[in-house]
Amino acid sequence: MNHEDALITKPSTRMPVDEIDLSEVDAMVARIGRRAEDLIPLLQAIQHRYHWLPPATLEHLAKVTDITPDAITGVSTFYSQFRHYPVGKHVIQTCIGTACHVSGGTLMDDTFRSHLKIKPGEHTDADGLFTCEQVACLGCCMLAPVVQIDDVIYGNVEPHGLPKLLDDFLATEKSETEKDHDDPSTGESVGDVRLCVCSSCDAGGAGEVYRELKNTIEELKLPVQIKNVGCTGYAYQAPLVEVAVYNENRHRYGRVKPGDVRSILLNHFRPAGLLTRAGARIYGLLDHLLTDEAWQPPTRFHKDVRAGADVRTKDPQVRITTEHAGKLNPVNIEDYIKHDGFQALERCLKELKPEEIITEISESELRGRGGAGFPTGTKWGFARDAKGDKKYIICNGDEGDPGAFMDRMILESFPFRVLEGMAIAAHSVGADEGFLYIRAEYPLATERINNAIAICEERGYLGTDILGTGMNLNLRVIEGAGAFVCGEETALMSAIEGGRGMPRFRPPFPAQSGLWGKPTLINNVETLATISWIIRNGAEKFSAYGSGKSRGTKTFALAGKVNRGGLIEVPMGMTIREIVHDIGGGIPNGRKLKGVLLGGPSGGCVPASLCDTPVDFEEIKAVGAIMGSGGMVVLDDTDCMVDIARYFMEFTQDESCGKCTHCRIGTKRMKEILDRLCVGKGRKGDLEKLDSLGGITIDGSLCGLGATAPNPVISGIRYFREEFEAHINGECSSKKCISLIRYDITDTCFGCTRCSQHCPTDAIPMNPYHHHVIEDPLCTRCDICLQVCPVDAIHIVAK
Amino acid sequence: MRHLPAGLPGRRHPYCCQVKLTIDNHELELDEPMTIFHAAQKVGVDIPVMCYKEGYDYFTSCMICEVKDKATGRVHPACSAAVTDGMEIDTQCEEIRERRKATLELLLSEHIGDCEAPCQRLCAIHSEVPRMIREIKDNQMDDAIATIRKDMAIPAILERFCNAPCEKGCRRSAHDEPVAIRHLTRHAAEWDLKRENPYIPPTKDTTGKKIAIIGSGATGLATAYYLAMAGHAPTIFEQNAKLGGRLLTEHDEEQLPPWVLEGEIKVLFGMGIEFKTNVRIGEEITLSQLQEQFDSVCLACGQTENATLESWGLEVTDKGLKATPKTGLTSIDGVFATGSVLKPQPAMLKLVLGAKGIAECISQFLHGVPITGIIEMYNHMMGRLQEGEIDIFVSGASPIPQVKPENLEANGFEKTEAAEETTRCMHCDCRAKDHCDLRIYSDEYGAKQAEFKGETRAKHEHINQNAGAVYEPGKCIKCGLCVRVTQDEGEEFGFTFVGRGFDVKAGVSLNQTLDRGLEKVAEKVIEACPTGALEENEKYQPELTKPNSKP
Repeated sequence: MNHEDALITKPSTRMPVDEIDLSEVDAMVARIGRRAEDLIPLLQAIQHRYHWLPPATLEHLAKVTDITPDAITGVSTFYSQFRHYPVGKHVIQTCIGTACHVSGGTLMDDTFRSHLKIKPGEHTDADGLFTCEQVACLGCCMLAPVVQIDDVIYGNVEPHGLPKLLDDFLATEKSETEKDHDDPSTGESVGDVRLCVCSSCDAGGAGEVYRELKNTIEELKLPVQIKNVGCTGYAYQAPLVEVAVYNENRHRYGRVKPGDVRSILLNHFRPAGLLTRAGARIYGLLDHLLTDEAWQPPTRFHKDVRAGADVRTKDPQVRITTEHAGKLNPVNIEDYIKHDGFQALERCLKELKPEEIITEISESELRGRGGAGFPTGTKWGFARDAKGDKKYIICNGDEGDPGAFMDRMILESFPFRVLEGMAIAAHSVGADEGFLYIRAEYPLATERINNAIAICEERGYLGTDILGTGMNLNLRVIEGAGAFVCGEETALMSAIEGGRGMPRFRPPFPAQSGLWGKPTLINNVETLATISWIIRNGAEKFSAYGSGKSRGTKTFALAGKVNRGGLIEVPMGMTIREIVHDIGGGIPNGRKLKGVLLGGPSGGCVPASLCDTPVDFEEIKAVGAIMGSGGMVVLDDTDCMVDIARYFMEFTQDESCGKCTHCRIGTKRMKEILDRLCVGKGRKGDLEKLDSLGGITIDGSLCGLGATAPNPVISGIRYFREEFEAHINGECSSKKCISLIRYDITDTCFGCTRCSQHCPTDAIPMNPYHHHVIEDPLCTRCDICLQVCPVDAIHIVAK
Repeated sequence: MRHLPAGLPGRRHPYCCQVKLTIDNHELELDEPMTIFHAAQKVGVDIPVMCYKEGYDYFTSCMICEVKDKATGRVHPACSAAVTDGMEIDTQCEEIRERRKATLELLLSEHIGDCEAPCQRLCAIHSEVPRMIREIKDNQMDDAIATIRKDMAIPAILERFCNAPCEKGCRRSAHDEPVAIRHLTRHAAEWDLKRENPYIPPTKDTTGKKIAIIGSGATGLATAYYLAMAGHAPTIFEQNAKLGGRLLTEHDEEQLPPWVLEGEIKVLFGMGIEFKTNVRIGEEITLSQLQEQFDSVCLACGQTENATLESWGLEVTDKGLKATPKTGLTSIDGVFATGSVLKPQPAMLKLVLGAKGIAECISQFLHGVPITGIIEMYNHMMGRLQEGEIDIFVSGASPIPQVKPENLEANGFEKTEAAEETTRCMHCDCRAKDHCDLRIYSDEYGAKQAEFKGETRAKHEHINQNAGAVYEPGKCIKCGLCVRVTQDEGEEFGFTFVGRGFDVKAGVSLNQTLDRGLEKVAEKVIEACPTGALEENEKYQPELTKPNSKP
């Protein structure tokens, strides 16, 4: 089987399902299973078929499986993925992750709804063509705001482009009936064209670029092979094409459009039959093509930033977890082996005793990268010492933090490395069965891991009698169904067991009593992906990087108001400012750095004045944020801290499992206060109330979700108190909170009528050649008029 | 009895045995693993729990059971956390009490319902109106009069003159007209007095304390009644030959027929109250003599001139008798005053209320405890109804209009009329008001309903209100006991959690009806529910009992 086949996800054709044939459900049960732990996959299969969960299918499940009715109702209503209402032919999912939120993504859902005339409280338009939903985070943060229609992801979307985007989607859908991805290269090649097709790049349009590359190479019979590579991390430039002429420098092209492909190829390669390659690089031509505004599909955000070939002179990054980023073919095991893959596993199985491995990991001072920073070696030790003939290992890939995408990229780009780490961990603690729990929003990661497991089993790196040593390890991917709280280990185990993802009281800890009561080791994706490097290079080399008690490197998902976002990896101890400026290239549009959100909804905002804080578990905690899993969203001076606090509180409140009193009610009450602050209805004493509610919620919650949920609010008040106080007085200094601002047209307006044409609510009467006026009661603050005005005549003013 | 909480299936506390710890300074040595809650039980320390119930797995959701380990400074949920060596558990320190209060206040902020119905709450003397109405409805007249007399002195007299704030509060008026509470009460009270042997309310164990009450008007009679109920021995001194004071002079025989007054006095006799007529203070006997002969004196003598009061040895001001406002204590220790002697008071309900309050103060004085008067128990209030909610209430009652026979004021209700009127009552009071853990703990920890008040209140729901098991989701604290009980007992559909986050609800699986979900174990589930969310259609318990208190 060629595992490179399904590199680019195909849009599925949805057929409206009128009649339910319960024998289909029987077939699903026969294929998937009938035990309690098969429930979530069964529900996913039903939803895949019908696009929702028709009650008849659920009742049927209760009859034909061993799963109880209370589990079916409890589980199907717990996870946000499951729908209990029918949907239209296509589903539009607007990402409301942090980066999308600060990039205006929240407006997007409203705009879709008003464009499609969907009534409040409903989901689907009158024709049954489109259903609108929100999704916690698609993990494409550097392309924010992002929208997914069925399986197609659109990045850098703007409200006024939405109608065009829908047209584009419907048009593409028709032409997408057939396609294949065979590597078109023939004969001897003189170079590679490398293209990343991770989810972010695909969202940036990599699919189309791939097809264009393939067609052009075939047409011109170029001696070039297309190579799919793992993400380079320069995802802000997606889609990124790298041209490598053998024995010459590599050249990178960012934000490539299909129309650029031919020029790029011809720039480096000569069509077969011509004897010489082009000697000169015709940059001028490329520049012209790249700035050509004639081709402007709604999928692309047109930026003035010129990308061209990206050659970085100084890169302060250190690649350990993401070693060989951009070079490694993520789906090719040969490529992985060529780059030292599985050396560590072989050494662990054949040369080292489990205790020696654990000692090595302990000495490396590696701490859990999921956020809490518990020493990995110690955790392994607990799991090894736990008595039991059966032990499990779990890779926690439930990256729920909106604004984080490290795990997604690692799983998509380094699947073999994650599996190797898991095998080493399993060997060290004595586990022979394991699961990778991966978010439902990451279909490509799931697919690549599944393929990688199959390849590893074929090649003897997984399965029975690994490398002939007698060790067994069977791994299986469990697809999450949409619940942030499942990142908490006891909730995650409950989800694998087929239950509601509700955390339980610890102790007992998973290492003592985990999955089905057996000792279980749970590690985060990044932690596991770091293991093989440590074994190969030694603990000392790893711990040489870092500061204080935080050693080695840490990956971050850099996004928000930063020029160059993406997956980065830096040595611990580097300051936040260095990351933002030296790696991220500073703040775009000449704005000022306001702060950096770390740790997402569990963390806090490090204000610009404290951005010299190094990335270090303890130091970051001391300034009121947390390291978290690695989401790093940069804010500029147009971002409103009250809005950010409200945004995170809404997120955690939606994602609370609803078990503990404090988390369930405390977060709700905090959100209500923040809601009223954002609409100018704050009251005296609200900040004190937020503070006391925050303290109570932190103290009284069972799991990390509730115990950290108030952090963004508390840190916001700590560093930006005057902004919160201003909101009590009805002022939003960042002009972000829509109830506290209005749009106004200045005298610069010369009456071109563009604003009037684009206004979705007809709030601007058309008045050619005259000064236009916005009728405030009709204005929804969608920002479209401001974006389309050719003379910048539209301003936001305080209400 | 299971000491080791099993946790989730197959999960066991891995702690080894042999631990030494203290719980509220009780020293314990244990050689088997157990939770802090169970260890505390061994030394007689009660830790409040709501989401935990003996015999079922712990769930750790309500967090009312938090205790502090002073050795580490950490707070643990006692229902789930196992004891470990060296713990110094404090279950009642200020920090813990504050945390429990906040926990309760969070729960109260989303609680929808009234503990006591508005009629009872608005009745100054807190008569348990809805219960009385249901007893009349079920033709349990003995119970009805007992319910009335539990809180109300001289009901047959009072209900002829009461201004009936209960009816003003009656929720039914939002739909048509209030339930005729005053006439229903009067009907039961007169039915009782017309019997050969009217109901004599029980009195507490005798305290041996004697109290002199001066005046036999409504105030004096009522004060004597409440004091006798509390186990004391009151004696009423009346200056005239006939008992009744102002009741005799201000109302004619049509307004207050003699048999009513005589009947009520007969009840007081039955309670062991003594009466002395033709005794004037300052003439036949002095106040100081009374003080010598009695443990306490209560002035219930109606409007009295300053000069007279001064002659008795009491201090006065230009506004009349000097007395502490809330307690009625005069310038002389042990001498209390209530009723019109303090301030002319035309409303009879206020006089009876004053009597009830002063009786409590005198009791407190006699027992040597701080004099605070009556402290009402925590009472949750639903507040103004939202649109459509009145229909939910009305759907649980008969739709007929108020029963209005001719000459109602003169004759009162006939038995059939009363019975018909009772069907209009909408049962606004909580079925669990006497045993709800949330109410009992809220009272104990001084929790306030509005501390974390939400922006909006969810809509009141009342599922199955006319059948065996009644479900009010608005009163659910999401402890999941119903889920665990129906699971453990193998109910086919049973309860489950529906949804998540703030909006999570306990509901019947696969959208089945409540009856379908509770085919086998309705009683057990109702018994396990710590609040009034799931209740049997009627459930009375005579006294408030704490869930953890020993018999």
